[in-house]
Amino acid sequence: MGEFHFGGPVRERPEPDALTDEWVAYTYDQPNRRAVQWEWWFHRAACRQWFLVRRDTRTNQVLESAMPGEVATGTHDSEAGDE
Amino acid sequence: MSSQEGPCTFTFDGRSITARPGQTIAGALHQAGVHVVSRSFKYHRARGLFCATGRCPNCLCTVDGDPNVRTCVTPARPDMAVRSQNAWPGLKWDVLSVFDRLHRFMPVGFYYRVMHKPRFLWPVFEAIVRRIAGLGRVDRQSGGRRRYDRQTLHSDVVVIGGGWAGMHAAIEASRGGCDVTLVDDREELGGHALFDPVSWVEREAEFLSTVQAVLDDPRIRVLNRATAFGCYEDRLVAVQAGDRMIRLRAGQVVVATGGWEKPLVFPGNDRPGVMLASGVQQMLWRDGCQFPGDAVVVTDNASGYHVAHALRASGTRVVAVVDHNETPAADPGDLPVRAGQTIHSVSGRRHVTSAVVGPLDDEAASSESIRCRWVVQAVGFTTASGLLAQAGCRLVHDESRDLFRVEHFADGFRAAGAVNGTFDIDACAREGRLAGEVAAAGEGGGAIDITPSETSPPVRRTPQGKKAFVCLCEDVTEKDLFDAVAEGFSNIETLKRYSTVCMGPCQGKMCQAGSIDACARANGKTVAETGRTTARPPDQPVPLGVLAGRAPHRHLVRRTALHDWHTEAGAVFLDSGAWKRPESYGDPSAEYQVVREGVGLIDVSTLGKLELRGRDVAEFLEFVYPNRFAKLKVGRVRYGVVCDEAGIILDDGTIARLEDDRWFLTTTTGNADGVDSWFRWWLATRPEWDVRLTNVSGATAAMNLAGPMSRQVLSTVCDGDLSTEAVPYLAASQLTVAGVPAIVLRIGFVGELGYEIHVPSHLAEHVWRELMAAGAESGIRPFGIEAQRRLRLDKQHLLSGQDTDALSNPFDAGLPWIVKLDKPDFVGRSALQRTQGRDRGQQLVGFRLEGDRVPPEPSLVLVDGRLEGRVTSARYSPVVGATVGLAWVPAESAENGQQITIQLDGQLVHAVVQREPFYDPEGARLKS
Repeated sequence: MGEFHFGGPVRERPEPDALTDEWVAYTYDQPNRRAVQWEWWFHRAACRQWFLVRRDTRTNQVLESAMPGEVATGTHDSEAGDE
Repeated sequence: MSSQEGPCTFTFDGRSITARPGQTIAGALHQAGVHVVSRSFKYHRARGLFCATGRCPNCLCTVDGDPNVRTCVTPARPDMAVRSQNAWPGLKWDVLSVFDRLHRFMPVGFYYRVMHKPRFLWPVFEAIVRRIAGLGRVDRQSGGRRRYDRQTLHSDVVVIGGGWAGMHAAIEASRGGCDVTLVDDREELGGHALFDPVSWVEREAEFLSTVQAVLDDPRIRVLNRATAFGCYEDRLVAVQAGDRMIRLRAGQVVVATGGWEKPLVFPGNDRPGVMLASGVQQMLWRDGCQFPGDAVVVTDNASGYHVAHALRASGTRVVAVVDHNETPAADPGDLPVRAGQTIHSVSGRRHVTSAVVGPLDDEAASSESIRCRWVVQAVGFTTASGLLAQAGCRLVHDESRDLFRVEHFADGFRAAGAVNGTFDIDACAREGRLAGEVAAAGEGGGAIDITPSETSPPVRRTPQGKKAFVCLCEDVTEKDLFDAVAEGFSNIETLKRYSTVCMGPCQGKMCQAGSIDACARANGKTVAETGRTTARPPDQPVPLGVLAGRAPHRHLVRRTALHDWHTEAGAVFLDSGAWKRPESYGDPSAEYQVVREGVGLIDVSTLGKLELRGRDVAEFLEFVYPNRFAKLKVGRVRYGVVCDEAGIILDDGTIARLEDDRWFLTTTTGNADGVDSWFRWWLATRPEWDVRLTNVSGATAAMNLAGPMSRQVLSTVCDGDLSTEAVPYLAASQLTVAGVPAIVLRIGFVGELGYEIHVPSHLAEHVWRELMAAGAESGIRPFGIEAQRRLRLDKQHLLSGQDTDALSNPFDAGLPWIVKLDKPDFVGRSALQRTQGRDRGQQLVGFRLEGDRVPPEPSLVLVDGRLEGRVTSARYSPVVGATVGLAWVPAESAENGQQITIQLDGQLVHAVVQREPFYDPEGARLKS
């Protein structure tokens, strides 16, 4: 068990009245992109605080971190090409 | 070389073998004249020692029940039972070697094409293929008894490889003020130097003093007989040391893993008697073996002459040194050199009998057959760069030296010595020292002083013909690879997957260079264009037990505040996650009875307990639970189920409103941390909510006083009014119990009048003792979770995680009333709405089985002989007078009174579905 726990990329939860397709995609499709993205991380073995990390999934490099609500997480999510 | 006193004996396939002190198993076998050690994977060809350095698959045997032991690097011990693998009935006459004659019908990938149709026969084929192909067998009996350990270590600098470069790196890094861990997979430090004394004659003193300097250095921790098999994120190095897995976290890593000798590919290159020079050297110098008879040495560099001299000194007649170069690569002395020639094939089935040698590019014209027993190859090394590649270093093919070396290093990694393509002894030492120095300085990764090529590029032969093996592990020939490329598997990655080359126990150490070379030639490309396959852990095979093992001494154990009391009372403990919980106090049936008829007390401190405060708690709870909480009155408690967005039940528990903006929640024992993290995540997604969550699971102990006499008992230690009017069913009261402020929830998991009493942990034992004393007259008993499970089953109260799983939603689990789809939004609403519209799947129902036979969990529920469900809980119920339980059954069988069939001890028994509690269905006792 690690000290930190990965909580997946930051995603927008659909509105309650969104189309079924949108809900199904949100619920069952887990994106696994080669990209720089904002992610949820949980400091499980210590302060038990969820926080945000901007990480490059190709190199596993952590570029910055923030507390929830501190940053706009949607705009930084950039899809990267191969290599 | 060894601490052993005298010779020892062990058995090989029942035959007694004597080993000299310090000899390996393989060395002793060789000395005893056993030259066929195994049978090959697919064709069951006879195989003998080949690399003798712990890389190739040929020496794998089962030793004392452990399969796939590398006998060439495993010291012989007295009374070992060594058995050969993959041969039936025996090594000498393996009937399955008939496959060797049938190879024409078993081309590469044949099982993908031949055996998948007709489909129903595949399981038959699969069973046969598994029986006749493959490696050793796991001894289930002894395997189950093995214990594996785990350890975590930290080090400023980790040096992988204890050869000349690695030792120098370790010394220098220590000198730079670092704590160093040196990982080496051999018995003794020294690497290649130990087995090629000819090259080291003048340096013996320097060598010994260097080894001593490493061993004497208090800052260097040496892990010998330890294999680094993986490099993971943030310089985590995975090391296997015997039955122990070491997670080694490094500040800086110096990789000095050296090189692997490259085998040549020619027909018959797998016959016993064909060996690599480094292996021969090890057998000569480490094991004191001889190679009686005639030997042919094939080489393109000086090491071939070293091994030829060494063989001759041990009594072998070297009949030819076949040198690829036109002018000998080293002073031949009086060795019979054949310059500008190579080996074209060997003959002999269970051992080499002769070799065909001739000009490099001209097989037919003027080649000559030489009678010999040994064919020794010394055609250079490839870099052992698997760990570097895993770490994210970029490797390029160095055309001039025909090897892969690192072009770009990952952060914190550097390489020294042969793994860097540096084979000169002095250059290795220089690189090692520099790598150690830079690592100690903690600078970023980088290449170290790459010494220019000191050997000429190798001559590329063009061998063809069948049974020229590229891959010894999986019996893949060069022709197989050409065929696979012709079929379209031209990319090195797809070629690997289709042909399984590089996928055997050697993990490409013997075959990677050869397979890339074959792939390049088949495609008419260069090796650099062909590239190499992605390197992944493990670099060296690891027993699964080592990966799965846990450190028992580090196993977290949690004890409740009442643990000592339970121990004194003679509790039988059960592991529930990390918790130790009383299963019973010796007599669960009596404990059951006392709760139904009198009063009992159970420790439920392991429940997760969360306190929520803030303006928006009600809104938050409305969002994370499918049922309603906004209108829950202060002083009331309600059952709730937590679902995820897919509508799957994550957990269940109770939610109490203590004050307008102060709430107290309980979760199950097993999922307390999960629910805590789940709630915290939702709170993090909505920072605007005014909700503060405090986990009071450890700070608060809890006990459940249950039974018809519980009110009477509680009232003697509690001043408040406990009448049904003052504290009704589902009341959440703040009372003083035995002088201690307590949260008292009137809930009844066990189906009787009961009070769940939450008090500060440090006062729990006092409250418990007071309650036990107050109940003494009423015959109070403590009860454990076995009694609790029986009691709750009478009421069909489900246990989340026991009766539900990752597919259970509230509708199917018999809790449809808990889902309020008219709420505008809550977690899981969308999925639950969709679920409701669909045909119902399996339903969780109660069942009653006459008699006292109890189906074990999970017994199967059958409909017309088909598996259609399972029993999740079952116990004999004294109050019902029958066995009762919960089971998932098809929707068609889920109605009250329907019959279901359960498999019990191989028989089919019939049970009746009952969808209301077996005991007190109106809840009169609960509410009394």
